[in-house]
Amino acid sequence: MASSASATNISLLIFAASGVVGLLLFFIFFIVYAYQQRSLRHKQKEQQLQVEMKHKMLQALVDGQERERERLSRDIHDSLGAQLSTIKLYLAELRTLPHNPHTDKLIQESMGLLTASIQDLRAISQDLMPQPLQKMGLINTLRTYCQKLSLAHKREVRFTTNANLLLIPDSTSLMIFRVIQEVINNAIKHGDSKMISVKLLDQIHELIINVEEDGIPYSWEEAKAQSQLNGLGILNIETRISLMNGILHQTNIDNKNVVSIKIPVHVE
Amino acid sequence: MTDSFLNYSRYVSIFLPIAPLLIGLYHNRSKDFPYFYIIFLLAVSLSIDTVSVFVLPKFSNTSTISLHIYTLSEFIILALFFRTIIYDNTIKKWLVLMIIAFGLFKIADMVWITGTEKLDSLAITISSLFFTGLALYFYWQTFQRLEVESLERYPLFWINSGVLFYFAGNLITFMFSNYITQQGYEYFITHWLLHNLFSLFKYIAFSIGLWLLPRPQRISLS
Repeated sequence: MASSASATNISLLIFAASGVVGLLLFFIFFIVYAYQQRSLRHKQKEQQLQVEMKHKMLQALVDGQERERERLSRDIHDSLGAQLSTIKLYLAELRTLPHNPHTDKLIQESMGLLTASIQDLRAISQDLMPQPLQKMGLINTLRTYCQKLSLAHKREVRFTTNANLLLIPDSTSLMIFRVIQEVINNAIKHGDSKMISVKLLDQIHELIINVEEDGIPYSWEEAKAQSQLNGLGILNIETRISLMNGILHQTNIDNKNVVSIKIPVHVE
Repeated sequence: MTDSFLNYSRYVSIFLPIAPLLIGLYHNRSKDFPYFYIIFLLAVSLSIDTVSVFVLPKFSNTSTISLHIYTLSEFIILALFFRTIIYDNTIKKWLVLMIIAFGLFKIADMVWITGTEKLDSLAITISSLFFTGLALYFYWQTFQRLEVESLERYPLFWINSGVLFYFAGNLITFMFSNYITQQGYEYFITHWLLHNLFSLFKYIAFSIGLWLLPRPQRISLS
């Protein structure tokens, strides 16, 4: 009788022990797994916060840069431009006064120089802050900009697009304009190109920008490594593209320098 | 189950703390405080068990006095251990108060309530409830702070798990100990063996935790 009770107790003990061991192992695995999951979520959240903070910092940097350009543009246009226009008026007034042929010639030349200076000043002011962007929209502004560049630099700057109207915020338009402006500037300054082609393609969920030029082949990465090609210019392009969550790619295809940019567009 | 089996189990349980104690002594040479308390607890456990099995029977019919002393020592050492690993200052202050309160209660328990001739089930149940709560709180603290890269490589996780297994098991077994012991000697032995089983888990978890402590580095000047 006693041995039967012992056997029952031993069985009970083995059963209880197995159950407890199983439960404890499950508990350990569960705690470790739950901790890993929580830790992973926390890390992802932290990374996301870091990205957002970086994004905000870059945005602040770009906004500051734009404000400074706007101020400079306004100062040049309103102050220096106005002063030059006044001088032009005075010179025009001088022409009505008694004069001799020598002063007449000097006044004529001064008028010519002043007119050129005022035009240059307007161009610089436009470059700093493209006023037509808000009125004319990105596509027309780019078209006009490329035409002016063609005339000014005596090389073909061709602009093509499949879009008539882009429904994107002004801030994004300005950023895209700045990126294209910087890419073209790099091509003119360093590529020694004869023909620059700018394409703006409006796809369903993204804008594709392609800038091709037939100048001396170069690589941005190499240029950056050698601290050439106005590192700040490339950095500006990269910063603005990252702010728009875009993708930037620079390469050489068939002896052409190609810069392609993809910018996601949220259609609501 | 016979008396010889019970004796065998008692002898085995005495030597259970030896492995974690040796691991702890070898790995904790920098004498970090939380681990120092655990090593000290293992040494106390080994000493009291040895005295209880080999010395006390020569002078007395019962060795339950050693259990009373062990319960009190275990409470003080583990409360001090938790005081070093818990960050909340209010809980730290409460831990000091709890040590004093439990100490006074334990003296009253030995003198008036239970006496030294019987198993101190009430004190063990209170102590188990207390440390189960603290161990769960430590898990919560670890989950909140997320300071540890990999939990399974964190020594305090294993030591805390050992504390939780042991005291949660004790809580259940000692809560019903009076009822179980009334059912007969066989049930008492089963109950005692279950307690040893929980001790075994505790020592295994302590061994893993102490094993995971950074190894002592041999510095070479050449």
